[in-house]
Amino acid sequence: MRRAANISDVAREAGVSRAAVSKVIRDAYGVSDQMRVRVNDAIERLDYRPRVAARAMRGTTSTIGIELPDIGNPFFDKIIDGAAAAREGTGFQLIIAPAGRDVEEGRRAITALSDRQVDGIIAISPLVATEWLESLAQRVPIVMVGRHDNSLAYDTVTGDDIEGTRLVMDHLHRLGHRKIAHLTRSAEVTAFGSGTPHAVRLEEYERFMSQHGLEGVSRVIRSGPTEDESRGAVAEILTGPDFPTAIFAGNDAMALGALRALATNGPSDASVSVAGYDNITIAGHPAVSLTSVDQSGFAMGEHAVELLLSRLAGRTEALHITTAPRLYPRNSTRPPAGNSSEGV
Amino acid sequence: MSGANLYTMTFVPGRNATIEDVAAAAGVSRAAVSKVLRNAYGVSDSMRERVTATMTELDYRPRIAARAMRGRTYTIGIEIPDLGNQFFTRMLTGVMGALAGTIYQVVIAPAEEGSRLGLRAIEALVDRQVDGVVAVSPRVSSEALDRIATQTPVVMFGRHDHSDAYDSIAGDDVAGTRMAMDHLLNLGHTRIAHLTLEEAEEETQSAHGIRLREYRAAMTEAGLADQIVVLRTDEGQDAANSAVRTAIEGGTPITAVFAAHDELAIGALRATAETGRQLSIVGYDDVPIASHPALGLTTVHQPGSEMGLRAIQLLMERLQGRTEAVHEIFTPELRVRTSTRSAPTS
Repeated sequence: MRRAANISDVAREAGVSRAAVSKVIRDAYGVSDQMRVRVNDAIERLDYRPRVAARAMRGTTSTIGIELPDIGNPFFDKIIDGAAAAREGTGFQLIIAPAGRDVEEGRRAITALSDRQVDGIIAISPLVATEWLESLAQRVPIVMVGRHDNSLAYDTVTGDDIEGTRLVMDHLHRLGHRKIAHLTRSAEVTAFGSGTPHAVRLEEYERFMSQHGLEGVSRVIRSGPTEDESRGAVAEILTGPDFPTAIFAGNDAMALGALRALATNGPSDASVSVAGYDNITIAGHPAVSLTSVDQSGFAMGEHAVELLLSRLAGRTEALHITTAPRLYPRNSTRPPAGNSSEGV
Repeated sequence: MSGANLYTMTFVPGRNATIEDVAAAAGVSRAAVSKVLRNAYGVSDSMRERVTATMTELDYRPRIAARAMRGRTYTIGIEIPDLGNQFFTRMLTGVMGALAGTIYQVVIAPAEEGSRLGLRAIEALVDRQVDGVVAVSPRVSSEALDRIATQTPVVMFGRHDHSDAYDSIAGDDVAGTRMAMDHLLNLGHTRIAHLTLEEAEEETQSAHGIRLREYRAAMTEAGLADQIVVLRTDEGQDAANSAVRTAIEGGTPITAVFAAHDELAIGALRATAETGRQLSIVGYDDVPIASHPALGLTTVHQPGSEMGLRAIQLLMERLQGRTEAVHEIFTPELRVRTSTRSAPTS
């Protein structure tokens, strides 16, 4: 394997001093046009690339790092698309560090980005401690996407999960549903007061049920993040008696799993309504037609990059941006069987 | 260790601890810390304990940049043209599985919007001194990859390259296309269109180029050369939907569509649902949603996760000194579901 050209090789090739090459690269004063042409020619001939590591030592890389949990969730792809669009033309490169699902994984991926000296980090709702993020934020700007943190040290971009949950619950309740179950992630992900999107949605679900005198029929179904895990979780309750007439899933991936379970193990076709959250592309497909809440993932990604850029430009006070949710009612939600009128 | 405690009190938060900080806090020389870091001989157990405890206390991390200056960064770079394509998600699952529990970190560089060429993203990864690159964008020139491979091991994923300088992993696109076409022909379809991307070219070794070429060959061999219809679309379900709708509404007399990948096939399914026109649809890849009963997409399954795992193994072999190029082909399987039916008899 050939060694990459270094600055000394370029100096030798151009027949100038190492300092002169360095001056040309840094675009410093006092370089003649002739010298510049000569050095640039040599750089091209040798395919010399000023090493990022060397530049990182001087603190000048231009990279935004995104910590991404749960690869394969199409909602996160929207956030990344938004981030990619916002950095177009800024000269910033985007790199993504995938993380597995547990706490340690998120911390490991964020640390890996910090170790690689990115200029800013977008963390997508990991379970890492806020204190740890705050201490890291003293060295590198951080934007938390998804989790409702009221930090003074870093910025956040969140959806209005309270409003979004009310939109879904109101919709199901007006259709006449009372036995509404909530399909959500593990107790660790929804820890009370943790501010994760799933925690806020669960709290609001419970508040809605009790406000409508429905505590007695409220039911929480726990699942991992994948479609297959939620299919299994819903298939299991379908074997028991007294299943719900509607399922509000904490995100579309889990809603798709619920639909999969209903299609294969369901009591009868189309008798259980399912609503999701995120409005991923497939939700709008006529064959799927999943009722869902759109929380503008693309705009969230754009906001996150803009916040990092304004931090890098000198802003020091924390900003917290929230996007407004919108409900898309589709065929997956209908009045419950034996109740064709719209309940009040 | 009172020295460490005293030092902690004056330690400035917000700055990364340096090797000097560790030496001062542990009350040892800089050279001693360096020896512990390098795992060198001649370090007593008590010295090692003292230094590592201080490193933990100060949250000292040897900088990746500094490590890069000395050699490995323990980073594998993956260049991806389209994160929304769930086949690449499968591949990444294999990659992550292969590296789970190791010191290696995966970083993904999405290709620039618009160009889809991917070369800039690959170069950005190389600039960040990854130890190896998996390149997925099909349009990066093999000459560019040859050049990059002189510095950093490269695996091309999905294209049938024959470089001496880098490795490649691909599916058997000839066999896969034959399975899809045989299935439709056996169901009695004769008016079969191929739905592919604008950029697919028959003369290239890209997966889509080969699928296009084999589609034409299968039609020709079945005596259907005059029924060949190639529908072109941009990436994405919406674009594929409108390409198929335009064909249907324009009166193109097709009864089946073989789509170059599942994302396009799902867009074609949308067109059939929205126009009420019955068409049999076959995709390629078998993304997770393809098996959802709501879609029931018949498709050619590629073992994406195994292919991702193998790509990492090939990079690791390179890092351990292998210099000869390896080119591997994975066998696909047809998964028959509800999106294909017998051709209408009229």
